[in-house]
Amino acid sequence: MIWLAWRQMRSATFVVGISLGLLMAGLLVSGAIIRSDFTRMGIGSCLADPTRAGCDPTVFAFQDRYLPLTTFLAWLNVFPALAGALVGAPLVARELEQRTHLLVWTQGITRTRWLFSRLGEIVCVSLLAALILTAAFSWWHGPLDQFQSRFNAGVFDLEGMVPLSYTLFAVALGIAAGAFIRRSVPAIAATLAGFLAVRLPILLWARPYGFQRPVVVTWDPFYAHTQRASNADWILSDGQWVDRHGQHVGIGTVFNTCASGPTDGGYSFYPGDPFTQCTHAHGWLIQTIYQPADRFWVFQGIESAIFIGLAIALLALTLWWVRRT
Amino acid sequence: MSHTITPINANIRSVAHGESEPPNAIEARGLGKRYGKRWALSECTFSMPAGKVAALVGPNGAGKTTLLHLCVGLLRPDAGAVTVLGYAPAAQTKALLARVGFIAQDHPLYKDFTVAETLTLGRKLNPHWEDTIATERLARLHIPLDQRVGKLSGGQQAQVALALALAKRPQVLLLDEPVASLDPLARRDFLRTLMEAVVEQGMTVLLSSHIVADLERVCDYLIILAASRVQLAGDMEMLIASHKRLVGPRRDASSLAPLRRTHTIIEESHTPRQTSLLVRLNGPLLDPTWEVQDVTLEDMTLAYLGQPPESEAGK
Repeated sequence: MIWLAWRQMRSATFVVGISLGLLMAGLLVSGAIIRSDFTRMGIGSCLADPTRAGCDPTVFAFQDRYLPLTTFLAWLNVFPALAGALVGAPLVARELEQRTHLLVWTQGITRTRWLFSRLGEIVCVSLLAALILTAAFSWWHGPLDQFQSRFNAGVFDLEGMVPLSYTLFAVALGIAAGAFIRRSVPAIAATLAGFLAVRLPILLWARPYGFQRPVVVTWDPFYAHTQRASNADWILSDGQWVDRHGQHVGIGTVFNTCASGPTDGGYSFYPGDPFTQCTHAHGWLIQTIYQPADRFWVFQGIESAIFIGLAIALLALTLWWVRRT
Repeated sequence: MSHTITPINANIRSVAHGESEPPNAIEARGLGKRYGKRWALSECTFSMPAGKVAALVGPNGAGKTTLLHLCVGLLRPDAGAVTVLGYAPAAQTKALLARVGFIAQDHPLYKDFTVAETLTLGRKLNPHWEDTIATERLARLHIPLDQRVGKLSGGQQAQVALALALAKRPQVLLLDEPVASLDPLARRDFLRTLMEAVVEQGMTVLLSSHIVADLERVCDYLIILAASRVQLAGDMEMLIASHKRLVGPRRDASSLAPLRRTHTIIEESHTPRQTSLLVRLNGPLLDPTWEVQDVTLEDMTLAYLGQPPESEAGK
């Protein structure tokens, strides 16, 4: 049965392997360039001691050149969905469409065994590809991690365990959709839609607010020109004015009250200046809401557990369904 | 009355085999399968002795495919039960599939596999696989092993499917419309290969067909399925011998009553001067005014397919 599973996956594995190889080559070359620039431009020592002379322009130049690449690489997020749609969905659906299930389900093995073998092979190959991609991305992104939070959507989703859990979920969803819908193309569409239907609410709501209550801090700009959160934290909201009781104060109220005279389109905003003296006198504070950087692995764990749990449920459902008929 | 006739010599071949086969290769009791509200097969009851080559005849949509899929565990019955070689297909699938070969309609195969890879599939998935059965057969038919299945003609693909099913050395071979998609020449070749294999390997065969031609030569057992029910099941020769066409002067319904007491009228047609009946004789025919003609398998089948069941077949 392993022979058959491999024989039927052979061409797909070749295509995936070749695309993966090209992608890896690109990551390897650009990653090496980023690393050599990081060393050559002395970014490491600048980050260690930000007060050093001439550091700011260098660091900005480095960021300007390489941080946009992160946005570009966010395209790697489509990998799990593609694996689910193109490898998962046809697994059962294609057999049913071409009626070869009548051939393979009436040889000397049970349907359960057939499904386990085919499913096992597909899951293993997809997870292996996801693992390689994740490792390559993490290595590639290493130098850039120091400029932005690892919670950024283009980073969190591509590092650690979550890419593997997304892949497992998408493949399981694809297999289940193919088995229930029985036709490849609608199953592919359902897989993509279903994947987004789970992935987006978790990305947009559960991760920022649902897993753990975010930290809320208030600070008085009269004393310090700083937020309490650091660059590495995941800042969800920053700049909301509140009064002493934590009630929101509209930004219009604040500026109408405290910004005296012509504005020239901007306000000075330094500790102790007239503007901050005024806000201080009214007892107005600025609120920052964020998830601390050290929750990275907790969030990775929670999110992975959700997707792995869903994947196992879907695979169990598929097994029951395929055996039932 | 029952339409099921079980010949006395049903077990001779299996006994000669020295195998402890159950007396009946396939037994269905009140078997039914429902899709939604529609019963594709209902109250299907028959026994098929081991060693027979049986034709399962009926129009399209009569439930032939459903019956075969129930026999090989692809479907679960919604009513009644079926056993093949004593196994319940849906529950004892593994044991059953080791002993039963199945060729689905249009003989599906992996079109991108070569013939050799198709045989590898059979070898890897079947416990009693015998490679030479397939390779010798395909060599005789000049079907190259390195050819992709999709590049073969329909007839050749059917032969590959047959070789695959035979090499697993089944005790029972089920074929769903094996020749429906083939041209007459390929049809003849396929049936010849099948018959050779039956002689060599001594297995029970049940093949469905909506084409009656050729079957009389090939099969020695007949099951007629129409309107999702078994209309007739029994030994082919005995059934053909017991059915006659009676032609005589015009009779009305009341004057047919004495005939009905002993015999079963399957089909009747009347012209102003003449009455023609297709009758199943259950004893000697006493009325000498009938002209008695033999019937062919086709006549008999068409009569059963044209008529609603006169008695409650299969109850």
